Amino acid sequence: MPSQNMSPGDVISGGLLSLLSIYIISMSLSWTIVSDAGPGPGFFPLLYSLVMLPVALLLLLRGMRRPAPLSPVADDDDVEEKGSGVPMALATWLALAISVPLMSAFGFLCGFLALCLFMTKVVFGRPLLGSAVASVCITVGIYVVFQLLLEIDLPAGIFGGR
Amino acid sequence: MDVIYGLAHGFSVALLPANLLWCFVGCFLGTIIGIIPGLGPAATIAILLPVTYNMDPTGGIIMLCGIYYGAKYGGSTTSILLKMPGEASSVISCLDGYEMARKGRPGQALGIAAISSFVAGTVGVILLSFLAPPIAEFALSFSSPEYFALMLMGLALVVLLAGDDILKTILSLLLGLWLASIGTDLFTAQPRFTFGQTSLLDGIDFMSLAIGVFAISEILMSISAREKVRLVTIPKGLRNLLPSREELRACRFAFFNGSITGFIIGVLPGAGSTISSFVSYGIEKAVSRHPEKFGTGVPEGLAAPEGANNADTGGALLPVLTLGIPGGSSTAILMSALVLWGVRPGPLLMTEQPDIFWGLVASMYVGNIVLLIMNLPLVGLFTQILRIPLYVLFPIIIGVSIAGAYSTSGSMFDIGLLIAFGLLGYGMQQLRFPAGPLILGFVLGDAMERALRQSLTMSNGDPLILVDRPISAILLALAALILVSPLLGRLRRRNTVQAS
Amino acid sequence: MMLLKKGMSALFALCATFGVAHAEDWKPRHVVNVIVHTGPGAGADAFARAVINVIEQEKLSTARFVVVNKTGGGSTNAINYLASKEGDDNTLGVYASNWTTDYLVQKDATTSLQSLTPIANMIFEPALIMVRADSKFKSLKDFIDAAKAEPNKLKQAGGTPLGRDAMLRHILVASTGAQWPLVSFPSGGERLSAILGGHVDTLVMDGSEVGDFLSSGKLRALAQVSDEKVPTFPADVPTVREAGYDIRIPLQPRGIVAPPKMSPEAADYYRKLFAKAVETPAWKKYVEDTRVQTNFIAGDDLASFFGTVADNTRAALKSADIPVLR
Repeated sequence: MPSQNMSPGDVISGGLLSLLSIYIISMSLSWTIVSDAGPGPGFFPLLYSLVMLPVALLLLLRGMRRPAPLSPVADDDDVEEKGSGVPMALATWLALAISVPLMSAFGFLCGFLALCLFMTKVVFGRPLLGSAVASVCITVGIYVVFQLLLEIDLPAGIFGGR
Repeated sequence: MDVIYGLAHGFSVALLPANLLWCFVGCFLGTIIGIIPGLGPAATIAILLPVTYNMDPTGGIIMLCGIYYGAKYGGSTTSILLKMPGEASSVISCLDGYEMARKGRPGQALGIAAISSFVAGTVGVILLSFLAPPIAEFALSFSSPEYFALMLMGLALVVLLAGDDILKTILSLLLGLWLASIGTDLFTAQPRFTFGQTSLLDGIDFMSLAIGVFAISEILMSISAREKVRLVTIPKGLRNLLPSREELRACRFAFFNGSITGFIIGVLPGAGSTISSFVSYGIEKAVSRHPEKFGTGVPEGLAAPEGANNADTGGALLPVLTLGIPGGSSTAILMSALVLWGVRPGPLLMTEQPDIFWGLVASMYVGNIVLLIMNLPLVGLFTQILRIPLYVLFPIIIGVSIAGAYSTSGSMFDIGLLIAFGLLGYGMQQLRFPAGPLILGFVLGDAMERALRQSLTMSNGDPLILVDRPISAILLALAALILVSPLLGRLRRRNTVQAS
Repeated sequence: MMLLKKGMSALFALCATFGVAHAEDWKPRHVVNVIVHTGPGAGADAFARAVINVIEQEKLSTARFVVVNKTGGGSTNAINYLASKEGDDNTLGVYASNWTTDYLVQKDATTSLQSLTPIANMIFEPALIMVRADSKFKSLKDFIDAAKAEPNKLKQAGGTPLGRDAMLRHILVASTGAQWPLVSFPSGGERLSAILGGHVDTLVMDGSEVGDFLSSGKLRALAQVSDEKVPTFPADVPTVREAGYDIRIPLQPRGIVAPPKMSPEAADYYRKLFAKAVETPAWKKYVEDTRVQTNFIAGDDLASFFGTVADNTRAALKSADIPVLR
């Protein structure tokens, strides 16, 4: 099996970062590198992207040759038992991302309440009533602390339209 | 003798009941805004400034300064408990502080942060009171080449940071440098890497990056590990929550390192408390006997940066009070407050308005004690945050992060960035890229590029300016030494293995 | 204790105070948002808070003025936001010189200052050309002659190439044939320590930054960057024109604008409000402390003033080879 002597994470990240460094190099070259007034805007990005490219390629090569070194940090034993939670983490992130336009359109209270409901009900699997109560409490709590007590405006106003 | 006399006079001013009260109010407000991400001391002082117009100048400046250094005490609280930095200078405290809390020692972490802040904050004020004029001269001798060398030394220290995979550490660092160069170039007004986004023209907000990469990604990590309840048990009773004698002993050097590093870097107008906290963390790791344990919750990894960002206060006020030069946004506002009260900060302040100068300095001794007394009992209260069930805590963290990101810029774009950086941080953790170097690259990148280009402009393009000047040459040599030392260490280890 | 309570109540005011609306005159109804393009504490923000403070101290209005920071793209996000509030009578903006410059050089800055409702220009910020007190240059002419004799040897500390100090350099360089580079530093503090440390030769310093650098003998002023002599500056320092360089002085105006199509009654109310504000003792104290110059321009005069500023800025940018878009 090829995946045994290959580390897909390293290959992907190495590849992405090499592409990024090529992008940085091409952009820097389109700006002034050095002028009589001193180094231009392209000078420093060119400098670090020229270091970035070989290092990223090295990571890519290393990833193709050998598996990632096992690190004890992230892999807890119980992860294996319950299966991966990565899809749920990505779903949470998506909910976060969706809540931003929601806040712009309908205001902080609506957008954030929806996000809280998603997190308590779907991610943590709380009963419907409990998650509704918790969501309302959290949303109102944040509103009271920031908008009322500290007078810090919340995103896109309270009910949107800003 | 002048100093002793001045300080005695200062205490007689600072210990007046009214001034004591203002000191307390300032410290209290500072602690609160320190805890809330987004709302920093600069913004708070600016907002409160009109309220203080009618106050007695001494009381007013004592209170505003209390906000400034109180915020640095408070900033570490959420870094430690939730991996959500409350202030830019407490970002690095997320690394070891949060890990300590995860290991069931949140109270000890908070206690160490408070004690280290107190020790270093006091040392900073002592240095400010006794060494102000000579150190002000030293700060002026620092020019762009020295700053560049200092930043390079900082970057070299990163290579030591989280170094079990050197390739990923370097790439993470370079990614941070790239993120730092997004925005309008200061020198030419050329927009760089902005993808046509107006909101990117001012660059990426540091707090959005730090909170995204640390707090949001930590939530995602926890969800993907299917963590439904927190596994650590928190001991009951304040006595069991405070740091043990062994932990404090482990921090002895960190107290010293944080105090000195924080003060010296604080004096330099082009650096700031975030950089001083990173550098002191790097130094702590570089001299440690067990550098590999950094990032897993070692107390000295928390004590050094927390000390540095508080010693920085005394350092940063030094050029303000003796030269009239503000180094950062908070000190700039403090200075404009002084000007509005008819006080002119500068070389004449100490002799012409000793009440204000020495009253302020003495109030900072008092303020540090006030903050210690205020913070230690609060440890018990704050650790209760960890008893909140995760399904409630996570939405609160997200909500507070969003409100914080929005408050600094008033733009939805920054919230988008925050969330995008959450995904970046999550991806990096999954692929085992360390986040610390990214953050450090971002903090140093801007200042480093600037210093390099300033130097080369000053020398009309001659790179020798970087090594011609003694301080810069020494710092560059140190940077080289730092880069080489782990390699030497590895060689030596290999030799001993072969020999045995 | 009273003072503390007052401070606290100002900080933690739970609700916006609602102004009482009278039948005959137009008055802002509730909270007036004042849009500022910088974060809290920076130049424009500090200016906005100072103006609001004058209004509150002198009890000139029943409405509450609240600073709203809209940063991003220099002034671009703030000015575009103001344009989006078309017809809103309860929103104002504080402009600075970059509201003109950004429109000329930034693609996304689609709103010009002239398209907004002019309310009132409040101040000009004058500046001084400074050198270190032990510098061999005694006059502006000494400096420029030296820069002509040895091009690129002398250095000027500055900020962005679009700032007023950089503009002044462009204009002087273009009109005299001397040559010296601008070394950019992001903050005033860094510029100051660069000149005090002797790492650069000159800088242009805003009046509000001067502090006691002149009286303590650390710096020496070569010329006043202003059309006329500024009363709060030393009288023996000539203006740039008096020093022998007949150039157009780049101005640094600050004032208040409103969204497009604000109702004439509201605009009139605000104009009168700020006209009253600049006559108060609190304002005079502010002007003296920060060494700015009151320069009240309102109504149609302000609209034509915006036009002149835009033309002058465009000319200066062109002379510095900075691409002008509009």
